[in-house]
Amino acid sequence: MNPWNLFVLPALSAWVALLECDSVLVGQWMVSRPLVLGPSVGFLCGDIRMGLAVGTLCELFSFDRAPVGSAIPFNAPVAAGCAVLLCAGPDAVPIPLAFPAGLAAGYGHRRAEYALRFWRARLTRDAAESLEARGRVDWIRIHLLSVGVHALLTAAFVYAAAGVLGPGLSAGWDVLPDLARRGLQNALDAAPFIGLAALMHVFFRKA
Amino acid sequence: MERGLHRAVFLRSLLIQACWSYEGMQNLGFLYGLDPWLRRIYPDPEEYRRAAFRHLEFFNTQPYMAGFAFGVIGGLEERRARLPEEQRRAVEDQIVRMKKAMGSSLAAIGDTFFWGALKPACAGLILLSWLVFWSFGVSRPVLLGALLGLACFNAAALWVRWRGIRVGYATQERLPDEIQRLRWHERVRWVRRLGLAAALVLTVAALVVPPQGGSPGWWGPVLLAAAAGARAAGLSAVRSYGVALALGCVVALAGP
Repeated sequence: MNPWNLFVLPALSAWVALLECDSVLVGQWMVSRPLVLGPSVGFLCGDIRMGLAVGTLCELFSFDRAPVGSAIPFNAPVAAGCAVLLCAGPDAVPIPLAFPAGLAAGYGHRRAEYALRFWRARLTRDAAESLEARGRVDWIRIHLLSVGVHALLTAAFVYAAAGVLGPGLSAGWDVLPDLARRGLQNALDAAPFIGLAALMHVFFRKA
Repeated sequence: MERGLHRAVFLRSLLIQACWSYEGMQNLGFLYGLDPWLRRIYPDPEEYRRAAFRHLEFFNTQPYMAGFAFGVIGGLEERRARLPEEQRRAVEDQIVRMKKAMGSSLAAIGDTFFWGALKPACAGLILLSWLVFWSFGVSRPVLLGALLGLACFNAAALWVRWRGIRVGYATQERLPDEIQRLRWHERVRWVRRLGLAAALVLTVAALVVPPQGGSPGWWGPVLLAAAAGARAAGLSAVRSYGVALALGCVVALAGP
């Protein structure tokens, strides 16, 4: 294992997971938004412009998807974090491939989030038992368990997506037919316009 | 309402979704926020325990609007505690009804304002400020732009969270009238207009200076029109991207 996979990637995955907690669990200050998370991870990777570009695209693809009720939209912070991390490191994946891979990771994380939301029902039972037995709820334990498990799972997910998929995608890009590579590049060129159309649509709809 | 209690409920309201589950949704978060209040209202451990159990029931609303619910329910719990035993049941039923009614109605307003208007508008503001800061050679444009957008969003979100507790406590059953007096719909309209202006400027900038570099060409407006058409037809950005990928391959096949 190289130092990137051993030290840098776990630390950056933890950073992504920490910021991601803001999206639903803690605060909702919007520091988890790809516009903030992308450049911050890019800065830590030594390429803020790349982080900015990827973060902006992920934001434009996700801002109109709200976590309303029980809906789980694709996880934009994870998508942006994975895409930026895929673009960095020794096995850097070109942005045309890293961006859709990041989006796929964002969709993949929904499964984990879905399972976690079922798992958290046990915390209500824990609280009820605690109230019954001791007349109080151990809030610190409950919150540490809920947020901690979520953050750990997210960090592991980001690490796996960037650390395991990264080298494979990087090697895959080299053997990809020229047609597919140019197709991916064309799609990336169109992505800002797709995002801007989505942004205008949100405001035009009811402005 | 004491300032210390107000602060405690506000700080705890930041964790209202920390234990979100499909079963109770924000039930634990709501009880956690109300906990210091309940402890103050019910010094008797048995009374506190019963009150806490009442709030383990299902609850869900928009997180920024939860302050209103905390204020109303805290006030109703205070009222319940002042009543004689035989009249308490009626207030308990009222608390259950209010929580259900407030959860969905506050969520509808909060989702429209925060998720549907303010969040995209602040995203547009960040992008626009980056564009302006870069154009004028401001140092640290990325940091400044992000801070500006976050400040705008959080000023509104934190103010509603903080103020909502006091407004809910003061108005209680009259909360719907008070909410109407805050003219949310008008505010949503204004935020959307500002967001639209930012989006239009960004779009024109993207057409004049293509994000991928090079000089502007005929394909910019064509791509934008195609993307807008796909969006109007109900295609999400990700699905549109899938279509763009397929078309990109076709173009690559046809190209030199």
